[in-house]
Amino acid sequence: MTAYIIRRLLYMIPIVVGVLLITFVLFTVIGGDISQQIAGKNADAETVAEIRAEYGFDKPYFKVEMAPVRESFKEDGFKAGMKSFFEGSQFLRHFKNAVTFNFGRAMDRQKISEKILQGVGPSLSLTVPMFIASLIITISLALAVAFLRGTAWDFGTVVLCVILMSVPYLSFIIFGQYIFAYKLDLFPIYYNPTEPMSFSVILPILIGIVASLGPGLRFYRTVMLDEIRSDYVRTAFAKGLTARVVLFKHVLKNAMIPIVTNVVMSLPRLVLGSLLLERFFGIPGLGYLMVESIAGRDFFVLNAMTFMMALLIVIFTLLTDICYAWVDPRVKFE
Amino acid sequence: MTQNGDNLLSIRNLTTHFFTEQGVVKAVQDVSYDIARGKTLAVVGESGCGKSVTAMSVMQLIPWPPGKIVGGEIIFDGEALLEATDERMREIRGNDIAMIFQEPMTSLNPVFTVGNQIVEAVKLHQKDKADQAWDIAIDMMKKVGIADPERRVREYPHQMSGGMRQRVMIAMSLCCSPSLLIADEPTTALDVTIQAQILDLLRDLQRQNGMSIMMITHDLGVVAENADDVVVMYASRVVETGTAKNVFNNPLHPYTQGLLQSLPRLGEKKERLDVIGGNVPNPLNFPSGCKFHTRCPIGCKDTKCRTQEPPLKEVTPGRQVACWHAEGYTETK
Repeated sequence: MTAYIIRRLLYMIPIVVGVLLITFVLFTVIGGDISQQIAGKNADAETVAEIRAEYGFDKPYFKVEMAPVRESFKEDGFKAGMKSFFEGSQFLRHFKNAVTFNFGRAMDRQKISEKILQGVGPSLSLTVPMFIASLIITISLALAVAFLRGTAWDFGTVVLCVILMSVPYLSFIIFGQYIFAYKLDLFPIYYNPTEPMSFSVILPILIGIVASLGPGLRFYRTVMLDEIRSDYVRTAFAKGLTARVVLFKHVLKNAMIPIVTNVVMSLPRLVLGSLLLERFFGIPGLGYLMVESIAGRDFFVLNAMTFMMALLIVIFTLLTDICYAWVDPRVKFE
Repeated sequence: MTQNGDNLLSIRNLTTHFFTEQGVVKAVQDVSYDIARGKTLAVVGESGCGKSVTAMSVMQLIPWPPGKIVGGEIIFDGEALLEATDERMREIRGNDIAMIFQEPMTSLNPVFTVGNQIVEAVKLHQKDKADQAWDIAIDMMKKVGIADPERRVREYPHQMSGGMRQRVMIAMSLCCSPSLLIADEPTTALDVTIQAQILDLLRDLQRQNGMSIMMITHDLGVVAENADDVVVMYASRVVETGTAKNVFNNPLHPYTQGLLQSLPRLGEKKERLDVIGGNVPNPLNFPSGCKFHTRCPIGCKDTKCRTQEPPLKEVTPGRQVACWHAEGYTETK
């Protein structure tokens, strides 16, 4: 088990390097030297040069001039030598920033790591309750519907799911906001920093649950149906167990395998937040930050967010595989 | 079939239908038979003839929708099961009537240890013995011939062979000492040496516990060796009943005769085995009259066989058959 985890962690290295290469090409090579843009229209050449040096735009993309690096090792010691090596090319700088989680400053001169840390809290307070509630609701309903398969209840639920899936996500937000926040005035329309976050996230959480009901219920219903048709379910009923025990013990434990995949893989998205919900309700989370950065062409923030997302996905994929062993005794780590 | 009133289970005119999109599948029609206490009854027939559906009807495990018991009576130990409440049925299932299935590879839940699954049944039905449940499970596993039960009780099904899993299934079904065991093709999925072991085991356990067994099979060798009584089913109906000895020595229904003829016999030189011509009729569209007439050497020429269905009648004491042309079959009786 430990050996397996260590091996999987080593596999992460080439993946992370690959991700860094892609983000580097996307944001630095294609994005280009934007020091003039940061400095502003009326900045003098000196300021532009300063900014260019700060972001490393004056360095080559990949190739490092080794002569000054060697000199730096000789004269200022190992630490300074390493520093000048990693600042020697734009890619190495990009690499070092990502690995040390030091992404520098955004276009508005605020530290990116600060921005991200500020956004995590609001994002999680929106997505975590939304995710847990919709998970419990969809799985319980899916079990019930799978048990009633073939009946009018089942058919009605599937039809409702298809309807819910056919409605664009945006419509849920706009109509929800219009009816419950504006017309009925039950919830705030927009986040107000003077009020507690918990009050502002209620409506977006409810909207998120309703919107996830359609696809979630259909997915879990299929998972449950696959299990409910198994022979061991018949054995469990033949033992004299009640439908409740058969469903919530025997079927659910088996269905955990696809459920775990689905759940763990959606966890990185929880951290990132919900782009649309945060934007519409003015919740200053990571989704909001992302949308803002796209609108403001802030490649530095986007680069940092993309890297963090990729890293989270790689880590959670490993977690999924470890969780399999926990839910399925047939899985063994070799 | 014994008619002395000492029957553990009596099925009377049982009819089970499946309401599918293609139409009504009359899987079991007007089926009646009895199982005597402490005896083994073999229910024989081709795949799809309704023998398993009859057993599932007794357990009331027919999935609705699409399946439903539409008529008849099932009397178990003097109790009318079809009138019993769901709660009462759950008490009976696994406790008084236990069932083992054809597919030992998939019939156990893969994510629980085998011990856990046996213990579950003990705790469910014998609440006073709940704290000894694990001991009972180990004891049962020893009884069904599993070596080192203390260790194997903590194993998962995938760590066991098919024969071992079927032993676990048997241990699980017998842990509450049921008076009736329904064995739905218990050995079909196993290889021959394991088959013999499992059948021997069932016979030993039957002798010890005095339980009745309903053995559903299409293997006539299994029937000859194990059964006291035989019920032959064809296309949703019972076509012949009797003691195993009588049915084997003197089959009355042309279908039973065909079945027995198709068995290979030692010392007989033949290029090909005898077969019953034709196919099993489609349950959505059974032929009119006697359902076997399309494949029957006599019936295919007789108008009466083609138009009128022969009811099951007793021809000699303990011997029933449903064929217009059977020896001793009269329309008045």
